[in-house]
Amino acid sequence: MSGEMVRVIVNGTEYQASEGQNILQFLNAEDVNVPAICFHESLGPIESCDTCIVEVDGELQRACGMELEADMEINTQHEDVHKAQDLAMDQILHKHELYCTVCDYNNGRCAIHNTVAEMQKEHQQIAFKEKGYNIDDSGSFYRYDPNQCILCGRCVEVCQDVEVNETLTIDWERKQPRVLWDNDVPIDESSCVNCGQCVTVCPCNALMEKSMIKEAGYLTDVEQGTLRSMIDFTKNVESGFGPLFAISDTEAEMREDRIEKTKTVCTYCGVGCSFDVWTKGRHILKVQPQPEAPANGISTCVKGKFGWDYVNSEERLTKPLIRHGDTFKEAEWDEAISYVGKRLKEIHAESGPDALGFIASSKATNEESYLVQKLARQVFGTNNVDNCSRYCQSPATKGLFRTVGYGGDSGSIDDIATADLVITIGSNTAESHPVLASRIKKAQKLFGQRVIVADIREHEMAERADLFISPRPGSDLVWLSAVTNYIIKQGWHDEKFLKNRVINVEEYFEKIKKFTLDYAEEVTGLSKETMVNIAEEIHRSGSTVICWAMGVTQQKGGSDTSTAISNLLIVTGNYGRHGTGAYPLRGHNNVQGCSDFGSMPNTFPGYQDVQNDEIRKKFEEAWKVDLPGEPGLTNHGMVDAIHDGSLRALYLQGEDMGIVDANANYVQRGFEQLDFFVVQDLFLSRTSEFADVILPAVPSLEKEGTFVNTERRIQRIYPALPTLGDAKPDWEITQMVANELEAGWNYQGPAQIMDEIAKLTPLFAGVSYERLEGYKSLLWPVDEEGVDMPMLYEEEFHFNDGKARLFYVDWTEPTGTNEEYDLHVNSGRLLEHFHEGNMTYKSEGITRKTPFCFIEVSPELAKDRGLKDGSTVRLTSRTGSVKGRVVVTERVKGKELYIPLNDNGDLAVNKLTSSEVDKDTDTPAYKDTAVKMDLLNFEGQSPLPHNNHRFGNRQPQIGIRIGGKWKRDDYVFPGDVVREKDVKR
Amino acid sequence: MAKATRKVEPLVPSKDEAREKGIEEIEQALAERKDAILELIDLVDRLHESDLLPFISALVNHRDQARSAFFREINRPHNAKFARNVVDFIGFLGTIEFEKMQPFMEKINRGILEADIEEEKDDMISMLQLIKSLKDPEVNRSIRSILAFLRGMGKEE
Repeated sequence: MSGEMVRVIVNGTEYQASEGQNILQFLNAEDVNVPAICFHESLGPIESCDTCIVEVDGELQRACGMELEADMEINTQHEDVHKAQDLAMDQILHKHELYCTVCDYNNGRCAIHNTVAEMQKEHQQIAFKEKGYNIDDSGSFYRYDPNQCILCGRCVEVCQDVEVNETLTIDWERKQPRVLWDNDVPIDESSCVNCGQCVTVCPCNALMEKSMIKEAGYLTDVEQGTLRSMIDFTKNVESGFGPLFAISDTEAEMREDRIEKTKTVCTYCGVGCSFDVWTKGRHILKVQPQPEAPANGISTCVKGKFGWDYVNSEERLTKPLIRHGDTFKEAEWDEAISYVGKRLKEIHAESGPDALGFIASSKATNEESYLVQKLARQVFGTNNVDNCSRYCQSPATKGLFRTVGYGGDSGSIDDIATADLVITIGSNTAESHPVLASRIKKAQKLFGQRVIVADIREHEMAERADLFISPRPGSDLVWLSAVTNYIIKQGWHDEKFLKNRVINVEEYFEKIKKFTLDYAEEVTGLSKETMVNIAEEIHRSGSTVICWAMGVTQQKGGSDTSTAISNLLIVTGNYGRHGTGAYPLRGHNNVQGCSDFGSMPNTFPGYQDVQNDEIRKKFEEAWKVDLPGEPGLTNHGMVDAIHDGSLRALYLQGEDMGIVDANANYVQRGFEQLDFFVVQDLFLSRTSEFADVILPAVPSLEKEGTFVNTERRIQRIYPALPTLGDAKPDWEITQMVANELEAGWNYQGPAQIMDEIAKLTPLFAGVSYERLEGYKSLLWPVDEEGVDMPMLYEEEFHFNDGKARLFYVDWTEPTGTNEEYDLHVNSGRLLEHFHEGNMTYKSEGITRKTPFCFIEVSPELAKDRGLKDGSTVRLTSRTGSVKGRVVVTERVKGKELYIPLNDNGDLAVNKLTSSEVDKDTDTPAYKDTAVKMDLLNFEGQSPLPHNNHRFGNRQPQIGIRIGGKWKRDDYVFPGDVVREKDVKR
Repeated sequence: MAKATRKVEPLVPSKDEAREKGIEEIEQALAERKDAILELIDLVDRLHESDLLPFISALVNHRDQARSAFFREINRPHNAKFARNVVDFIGFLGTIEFEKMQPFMEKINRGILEADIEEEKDDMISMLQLIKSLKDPEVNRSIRSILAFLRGMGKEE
């Protein structure tokens, strides 16, 4: 049976091994040396390179293609084994020219170079021959050199079965096989989303980041002719690989002198991908993901892999700016900080603590969030402190607080990947959380995971879903409750789980009866059969997870719908086991951490209630001040308070609130009324245009700190670049301001801040920088010994009695459309841009393929209103209007429109959104927006260029279809040649 | 009451301030590396005296052409052959076992000395003398060594 311990013999020595294990992996783990080029620990066996041939029970076999069986005899030292491996390597060197010294990939990790060296191969028996294809450098970020490609298929494997974008294949039928993009089009015109994973796993220089080329090596920055002469010369002179490698290894060593490799965590979404950044001076050579990265392994999306140009943008602020009338004047830090201190002190003295408001950034670090709330509470005595989770995920947190106790994902991404059934609701996962989406896509494609997608828009996940449902906007609570009710009626609920681990069961069962299938059909527009179908899917699955995002939370009943999701999971016993649970997908890199670390109007770090006297006393003793016991204003409340004149000064850290808050016109009018406005940012953002003082901050790549991803995983970042100009990390700036007000802070670095947090916060009791070194991470809660909790609720729920609560919620009807405002506006992310675009539009490679924001219109509506791709329309809501060009697409239906968030000008979607909010958390109901449309100009160019990946043509298949190679007339298995078997000629 | 603005007046340090700051930084850097800098000045002096300095600057200025010409030239067949011979010869040197050859070489030296003395004489050596001399232990040892050498050289791999 697979997994049982059995006896095997390797080179005459006896080993105990688990049956069914891959032989190559077993040998590697036992330190028995076997060369291997196509095998990658994150991809598994591909069986394309033949270099790992060993003798198994007397036969020559690919070690990577076989599983261990009892009493197997494996020989890796037989003369024939070496001969066969040598032959395989000759075939590879026939396809790949060794000019290592003048190759940008000569960085000590080229699999071909290293394997040739390891085999101590001195000569090649078959000369190198070009394949007769040109280099494809049409794409934005990487290029493919077919003449260096050994057709190992790692790139195809990762594209098909890890990223699951299904762009790459190898055509084994043609005379000279090569890697193809879509149905053989240039890279730039394919469905490639530039996730860069093919480049990451390429064992050699066939696929390479353009940012590496002519930059990584000492001798590679030469014109083509000279390069060719250099290659020829090295080949002529070197009589064997020994001397060649002596020189190229020395050159590789020299590179270490000027290339820095620094671990960081991506800042483009809540997945929390970590990777090494390679830098040479301020130039970013490449992003190199590592298999040990806990959230993502080798995976990235286009933004994480390539979207870092903004760090070196000319537009970065490098000096503090102070407003003089309608002009900002650059100033030195002393002047700016003393001015900020003076004005805040004056307003505090004149109008009291609550005339000030503080907003922390979900893009900044945990330590920086902690210092902002400490500044508000300790120095100014106000709880008016909040962060941008208010714009997105506070309702999800609320729903989980009501039912299970912790405001975070119940498990890790591994639990999502291993669930039998994944339901996503209001989440454009493939574009908003691409690396997490890939885990679902892979599980579905290879391991039979079932996927149900509920969304009003037919995005990629909807296309891939086993069941795609499209309920009316804002009606999710109703179908969720009806499905729950139906499950109870069928007796499919988890009785034992409910009896032992849940309270309020009977009361809930009684109330939920209201949600009949008939009622739900009427409200949601879903058929009864569809809802029964969903109930059956959940019933049939051993484990179910539900992932949700802004489509749920940014509604007037966002907290209630989140609660209904949790109720459904409780009723079906889908908590506290692997492959189960609730997963609100956090949008920004640190939207989880910013709240976790205390920038909330009602809680200290670790969700410790400000109204609890005992907790407050702890903080008062630590900070040596009296603290206010009433919750402060949310950021939405702050904007209202500015309008009514009670809030006079705002201190805002790295948030383009004037664009990203709903009803942007109202927010911006508020900014105009402030007496004093301080903004910390990298750029002169739209929001900072209203500021009195702008303090130049630095991005994640220039500072230390920690982030918390959507899994509750705390991870460290390290400075990869020196700070630019006079800009400073946010924590240093906040400390300067505090000390200007005689706070006497003396933090030498973020590690010290974290030590203080750990002492005051039970949730993070055992968190320290040593425990987070390098790629190490912790998923909170973390006890004093440093033991973390990847999966919550295994033993008990986070309430005093340890039990979950069923929390009945009713439906809040959305405002919706009417006769005048007859079109519904949905908004959200695009894969390749982030937020209002301050960062990603600085990337030329992204912008050339996605230059503008646009309005998606359904074919029906286009026909009805006389629109085509490129037509310009004006959309007007009750609060404002926008103007933009149209893309006609079947992704949207009927009278639904979709506008990406990525614009801070004419098409900034939040000019349309209203001040309506989730009734429980003040989160704006962004997704409940109605507009009317006027056609301004029929003619116009499509805002999406033809080379955008959305026009590509995917080629789904599983793996590289290696059988195609083995069937070729010119292929002979090296083992057969050595044993002189009857081989085909 | 602040209207949005994008107007920014840069803080331009006066020329004197900028210069002063620059000089300060340089002074500090020099002071921290006193010994290395003095040595470097010496080296520059010597390069200058030997006229090497202008040569190096010219080479650096025209590095692309120089590199291209160098590799084009060096890539011609006879040059490549020369370079390859150098590499091969270095490889050959690596295979010689000098340690074992050392005593042998000393013996050859002594042999040459003896031979030098004998060369003065004119008389013929008879066959009998030749056979007799095999009994001389010194001659006998040499003959044995030579035969062993011949055996080794004739061996097939």
